[in-house]
Amino acid sequence: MSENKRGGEFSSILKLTDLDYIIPSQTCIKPVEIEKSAIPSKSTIEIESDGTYFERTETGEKKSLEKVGITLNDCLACSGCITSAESVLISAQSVQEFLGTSSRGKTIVISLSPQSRASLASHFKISSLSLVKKLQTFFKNMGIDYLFDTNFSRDFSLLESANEFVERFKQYKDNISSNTTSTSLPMLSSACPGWICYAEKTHGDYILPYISTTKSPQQIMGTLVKYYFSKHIIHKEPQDIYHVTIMPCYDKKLEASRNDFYNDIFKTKDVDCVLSTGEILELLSEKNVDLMSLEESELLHGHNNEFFNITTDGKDLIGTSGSSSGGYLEFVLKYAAKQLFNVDVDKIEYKVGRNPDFKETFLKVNGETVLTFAQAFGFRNIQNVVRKIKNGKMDYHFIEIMACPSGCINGGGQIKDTSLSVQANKLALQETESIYQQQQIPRSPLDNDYVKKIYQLWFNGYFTPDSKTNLHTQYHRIEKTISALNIKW
Amino acid sequence: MELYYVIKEDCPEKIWHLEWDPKGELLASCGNDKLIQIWSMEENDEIPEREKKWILRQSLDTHMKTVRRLAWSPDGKYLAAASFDSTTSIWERIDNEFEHVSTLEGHQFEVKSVSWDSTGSLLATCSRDKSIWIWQMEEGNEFECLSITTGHNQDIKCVLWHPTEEMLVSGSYDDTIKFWRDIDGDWECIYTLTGHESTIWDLSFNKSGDRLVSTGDDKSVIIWQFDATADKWQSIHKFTEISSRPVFSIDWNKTDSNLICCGSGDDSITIIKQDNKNSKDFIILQKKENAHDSDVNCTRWNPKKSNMLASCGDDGLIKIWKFNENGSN
Repeated sequence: MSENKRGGEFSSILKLTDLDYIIPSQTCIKPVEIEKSAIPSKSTIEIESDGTYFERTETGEKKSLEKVGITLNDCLACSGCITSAESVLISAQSVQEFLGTSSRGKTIVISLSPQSRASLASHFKISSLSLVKKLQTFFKNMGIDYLFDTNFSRDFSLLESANEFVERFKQYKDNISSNTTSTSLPMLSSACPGWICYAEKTHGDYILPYISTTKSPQQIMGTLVKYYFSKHIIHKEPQDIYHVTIMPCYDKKLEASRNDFYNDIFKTKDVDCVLSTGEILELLSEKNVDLMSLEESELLHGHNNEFFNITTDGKDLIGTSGSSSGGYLEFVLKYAAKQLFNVDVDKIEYKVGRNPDFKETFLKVNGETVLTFAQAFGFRNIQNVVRKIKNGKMDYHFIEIMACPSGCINGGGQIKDTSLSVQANKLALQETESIYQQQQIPRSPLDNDYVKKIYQLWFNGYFTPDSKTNLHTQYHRIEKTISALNIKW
Repeated sequence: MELYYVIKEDCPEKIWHLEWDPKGELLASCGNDKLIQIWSMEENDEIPEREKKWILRQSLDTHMKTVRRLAWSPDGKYLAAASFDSTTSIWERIDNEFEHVSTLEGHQFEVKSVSWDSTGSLLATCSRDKSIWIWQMEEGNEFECLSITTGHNQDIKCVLWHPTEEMLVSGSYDDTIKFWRDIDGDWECIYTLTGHESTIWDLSFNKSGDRLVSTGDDKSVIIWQFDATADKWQSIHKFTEISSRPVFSIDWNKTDSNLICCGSGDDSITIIKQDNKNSKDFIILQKKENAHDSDVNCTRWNPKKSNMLASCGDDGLIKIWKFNENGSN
């Protein structure tokens, strides 16, 4: 079985930011820390024929020098290329990593995204519910008892985003009435790591303050699994859990690798390994398992029903309404309309912009437009949002931003048939989107009783200091490296 | 071909590109000095054209690095400049003064080329980041990004709109020429032309747009024709080694469609002529050796005076030539 080159499946936004292309002679600049001897010496560094480095001291001794190890973290801290070197990706986030020693002796928890299950259901031509039940059987046969649903953690992400927006909007209005300058609107959604990575690397000067600080559903699930589930439910230490997510997106691997999502005390990451939708097929193949021949396990098992958005009779999956990338625009608008203007919004009508990946909507109270919201998917629409914010010509209050055209359902990690034509792939995408939307019962995060319970037990309400500590993060402007290359052409 | 005038600066730096405005009255140039310079012939009608001087009208300064290429909008009202600082600047001509009205950002690396479409509403840019961006010009000198397209495997050296259709052509370091068209809101590659063995440096359509000429690092010039029956661009003529060094520039005369000029790294300017009897036959009509003291980076026909030609080079000079078909070199 030959190795596939996975780097090509990052979002187009990251491909355009150097993912697949390393400039000739531009080298990685990560330094290695060498312990210096107290006495300055005249030692020299020699390179062996196999590429290893040695320090030869004055007395002729050879001391081998440490080789540089590059991790995804280092790439994130550099504004240069994100290396798509196969070895880095394979060692950091892969099926081999998942099956290897990292998870040995630990309780394995798997969190499945709704976009991934729609893609898998489309691939296997079965319902989403059947797909999930068969996966449950597969994982149980591997000795994995916990299969969770990131729809659950998304409910937290939506609630925090909505409350964050309400606070920003109030602050914005206060600033207007007191004539001070506010720069925190529009609030831009933060669930998409491709968008975050791009913003940090290319527009950090001015765009980061606009981005919601709310963590993505993946990272909130990481927090819940390692610091709530571990303690309150299975009574284990966070580092004794190996948490795997199944995502439509390769950029989620980068997100999971951020230093912000690593706990120094427990020496553990919130998400230890991210597998793409397509890598699940690889995993099934590695295990020589025919998913279709597996029976369907019941989902209402142990504590799975808490961390899985499913009806109490176990017959229907529950999700949020709105876009298949999370429905941030829809939930935030409805929530803000109620909290700020005491208006119940039932149905949202969109006005499509220049392309189908840009939509906008408004809330009018007494004939006056009080809220303007937009959805901007794909790199070109991001460019237009960024331009307008920079030029001070932005008149929206909230924008749901996703890096991939059509959103997460079209993520780089989704199952795609490369032999199909462009048109056939569009039809396949529509089918996956349809599976996503139709094979779930929409429910507001406000109506999730398990979410309410955790808020009561742990966070003491929405957007409180406790929830800000655990459900919010920060962004880091990445300095441009100044290249000494003198480009002629 | 006769040298009419040499524009010489005090401290010349390499000049990469020049473009005539649509009326053929202004000449814009750019290069390593990060400036865009606007030149015109002095206006005294009493002086014979042969003796008129070329005057620097304005120096446009906004870029942080080399300015690589320029493009005029078809009405001559706007000038766009592609720079190695990864931005494209837009200048509006108001009462013969140029004002910086917009900056297009987003490319990750050097912007190599910029082009306006025939309606003046679409602008294309390309870059070493292997992407082509298509912008729509809006009211108030605003630009909206319509498309960010990838497809070339390497650095894209030039983009050019078709003279009559909403179709874009690009030439790349990956040795291919690609045609792009808007299909359901996405710009997709509809033709890929292979034939060059190295980087494509420049492209030019004939006036009606059914023929394209390309040139590049392999020292060759290829003339392509669109075969509507086969729905294909076919190579109809190839000059395998028109120069001893790479050919950097090519321009199809828009008033005399039989003439093509090119500039190359062997310091020469070559005039190619289409045979009147057999339109698939092209001959080298003239070769002006040592046209510049080093690489000739760009050659452009005046859009109104079919016998006037401008060139620029690594020697930091801009030269104005008068072309005589039967004249001495």
